[in-house]
Amino acid sequence: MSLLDVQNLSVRLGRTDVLHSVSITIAPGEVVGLIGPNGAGKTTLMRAALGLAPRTGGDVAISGEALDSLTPGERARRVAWLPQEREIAWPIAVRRLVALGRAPYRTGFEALSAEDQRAIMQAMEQTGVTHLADRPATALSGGERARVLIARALAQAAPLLLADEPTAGLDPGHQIDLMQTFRGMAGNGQGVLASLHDLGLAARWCDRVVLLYAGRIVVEGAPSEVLTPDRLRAVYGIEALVRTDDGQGLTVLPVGRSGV
Amino acid sequence: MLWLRSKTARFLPGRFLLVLLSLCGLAGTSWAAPARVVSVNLCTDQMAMMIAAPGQLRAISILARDKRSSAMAAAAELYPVTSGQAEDVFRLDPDLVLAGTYTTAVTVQMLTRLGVRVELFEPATSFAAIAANLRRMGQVLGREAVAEQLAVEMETAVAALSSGPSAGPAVRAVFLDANSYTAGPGNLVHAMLQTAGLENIAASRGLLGTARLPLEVLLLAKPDILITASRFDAPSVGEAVLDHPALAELRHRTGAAVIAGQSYTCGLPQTLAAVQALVAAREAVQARRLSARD
Amino acid sequence: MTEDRRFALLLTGLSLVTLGLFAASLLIGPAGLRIGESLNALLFGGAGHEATVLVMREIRLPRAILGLMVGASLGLSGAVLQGYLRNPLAEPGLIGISGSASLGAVLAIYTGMAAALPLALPLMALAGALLAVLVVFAIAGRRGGSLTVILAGIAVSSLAGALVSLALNLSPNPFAALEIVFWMLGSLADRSMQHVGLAAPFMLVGWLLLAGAGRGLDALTLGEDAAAALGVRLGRVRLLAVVGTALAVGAATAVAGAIGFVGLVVPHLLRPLVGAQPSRLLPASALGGAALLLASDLAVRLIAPDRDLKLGVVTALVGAPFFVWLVLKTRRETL
Repeated sequence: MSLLDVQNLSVRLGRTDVLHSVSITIAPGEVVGLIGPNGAGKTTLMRAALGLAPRTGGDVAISGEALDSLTPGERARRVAWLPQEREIAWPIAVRRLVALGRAPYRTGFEALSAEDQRAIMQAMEQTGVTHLADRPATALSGGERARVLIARALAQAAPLLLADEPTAGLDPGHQIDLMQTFRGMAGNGQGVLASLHDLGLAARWCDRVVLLYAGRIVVEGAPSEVLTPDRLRAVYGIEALVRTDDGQGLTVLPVGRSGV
Repeated sequence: MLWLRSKTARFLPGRFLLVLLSLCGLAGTSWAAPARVVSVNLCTDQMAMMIAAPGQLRAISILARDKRSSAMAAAAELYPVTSGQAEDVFRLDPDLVLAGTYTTAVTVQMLTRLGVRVELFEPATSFAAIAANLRRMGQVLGREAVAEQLAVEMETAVAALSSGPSAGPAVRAVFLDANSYTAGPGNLVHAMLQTAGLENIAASRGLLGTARLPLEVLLLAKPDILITASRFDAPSVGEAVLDHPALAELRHRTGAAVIAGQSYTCGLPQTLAAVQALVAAREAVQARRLSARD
Repeated sequence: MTEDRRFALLLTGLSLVTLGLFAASLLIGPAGLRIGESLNALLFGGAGHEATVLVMREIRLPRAILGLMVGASLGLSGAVLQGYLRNPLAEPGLIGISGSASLGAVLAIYTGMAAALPLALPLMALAGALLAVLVVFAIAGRRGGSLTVILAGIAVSSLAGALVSLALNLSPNPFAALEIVFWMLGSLADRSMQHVGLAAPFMLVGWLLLAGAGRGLDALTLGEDAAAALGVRLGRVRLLAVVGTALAVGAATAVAGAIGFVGLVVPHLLRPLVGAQPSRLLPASALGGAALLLASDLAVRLIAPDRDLKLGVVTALVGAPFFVWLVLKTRRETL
């Protein structure tokens, strides 16, 4: 049973068709990279899959259940969402912010359970923000903020995580930490769908890459199948070095604009 | 700038002429009785209606027709009314305008500058002042005899009331108006209470003129008579205090009287009628005391 | 957890301050009654002291109760509005909700509707408040920036203020025109138990709805998308915030006039003390609002006992400079 099963999803926002009959599935143990140029429809695809953007056609199932039959609470226990906007409205302590990830498991104003506490601690350790636990979240640097918000999504402990550009603003070390965290989750049978602009990260860490362009899936498959110089030229308009011969797996390095 | 200067230049000679004319006019009218009188104040409206010769009073203020404020609302229907604004009044070409000292100073100044004779009347806060106002109204309208008769009748009635023997301990009364305002010395209502032989609680507390008397102070002063103002037809939040449940309790236990707003808004011979009602309320309290003692 | 203990301590402290001010509100007044005498009359009544009993039960008690409830309503709805709009400048007075509630109340009273049916007063004020919240939320949009919210509020409150003046000036009762001040600045003078009876049920229901929004407001700290993905029903939170505010502020304004700045100052002062968590800010702001309004009403009575000083004058003297400071601070942070 797949964690996410999107079939023939179409989305129209205003008068623009943003997605045309897109299908995508995520199986347990998979880290899937969603790539494509700006405006390709990556964010809309993930928001529609969560029921946050209205679908004009198609079906979405999460852990085998139709999205529309899930209550918001049930949905939140099955899939976590890390939006691109790193909004933190109030200077609440990092620990409290991460604890918001436990909201789907709590009712009323009851105190955090031992399991809640454990999930919070673990998420903070995974993203390396334990030492920030008592700092106001609004007083952090951009990268720290991003990691705190990722910790919040991890604390939700849902089988599936959808993350919109989670590596943006992170230094290389923390980018690698995050991708390793995703791999660790996959090792536990969880699934991750992350939109990425860093093709090198997508190539190196993802099981599968989905290339979205102008609202359609151009191709999907193993990174080495998808990330070819010709395709990157066609879709992104870039020249890229693509190498597999240095013993580090696939390396993709954009080096310049293609001269059209 | 050029436009402004030429405009002023054209205007100036005309205005100069107007002022000159009005000076002559003023000199002429101060001796003869005015023929075209306009009143712009509720109190002068009513005095003028009582004293003026037929046809002499050309217009009064619109407030004179308001039943809550005016003791002569019915009579006022027979006169044309003005808004009281200088432009309106000037158009009627009056040879005398009657105004109160509280009438908008700007309006009075404007009329004076336009050369209209304006006579100002102070609001009366005692019966002596009412009589004086009546007599002065007689003078400015050239109707001294009518005014004198009204004044003397009133003075006689007041003297009769004041000479009545006061039996036993003082009857203490308090007046309550909208927004918890009361009346102390310097307010016509105080004169009414005094004339009716009542002790005014506001006065014994040192309040002067129109002053606030918090409801709780009023209750603890334990008045023998609670006098409230009559109400306007349309509701207001300020008058809601007169419906306060605490006052309902008080009315239940003490004497209560309502005096019509028209009787004290302006000092007039009609003010005396309300005093008669207060005297009756005082006598009722005194009778109750006597029967309680027996 | 120490943080929980600190929160409990804060609520206890605020409760004690509020209670103290409530007691002071009962014991201080122009009549200068002795404390023992007052309490005795309030609690046990007593023959021979009818006037004192009346003063305590019919004049001071309703005033103190209304001070408490109106203040709590303003503080609580300020905290909820700020949490929902994620904007520290949102406040019932500043964004025109109080002004519109005044308009509703004015229409109810001066058309004589309220005289025929007393419930018309809170209901009309509620309708006015509801209209204003809906308009401001609609203009502010899903992600209303500070400026949009404030500008929308200025538009709503100027219009409501103009219509209040128009309605009062058209009234044939000369007292009505003078009451523009009451509806713009608020007062608790000479309120009675009838006012308590009319407004209290609406305020209580409003509080319950507003409190129900607390958890949703916490999640909204992360933005609407993240909150929705956490299982928060945004439509429900919005409904609770809108109807709760309309009920609480509408009923409060119906009996006390429009009182500004309480909903601004109180949540802002208390936010650091509750770790900025929106749900924790709600009970704290309710208590803080009650304390501030009771204190302001005491100030009104002590500063100028014979002048009928309006409550909004005191709250604005505290709140307006604070507002300017807050605007400057917000600008610095967003630049």
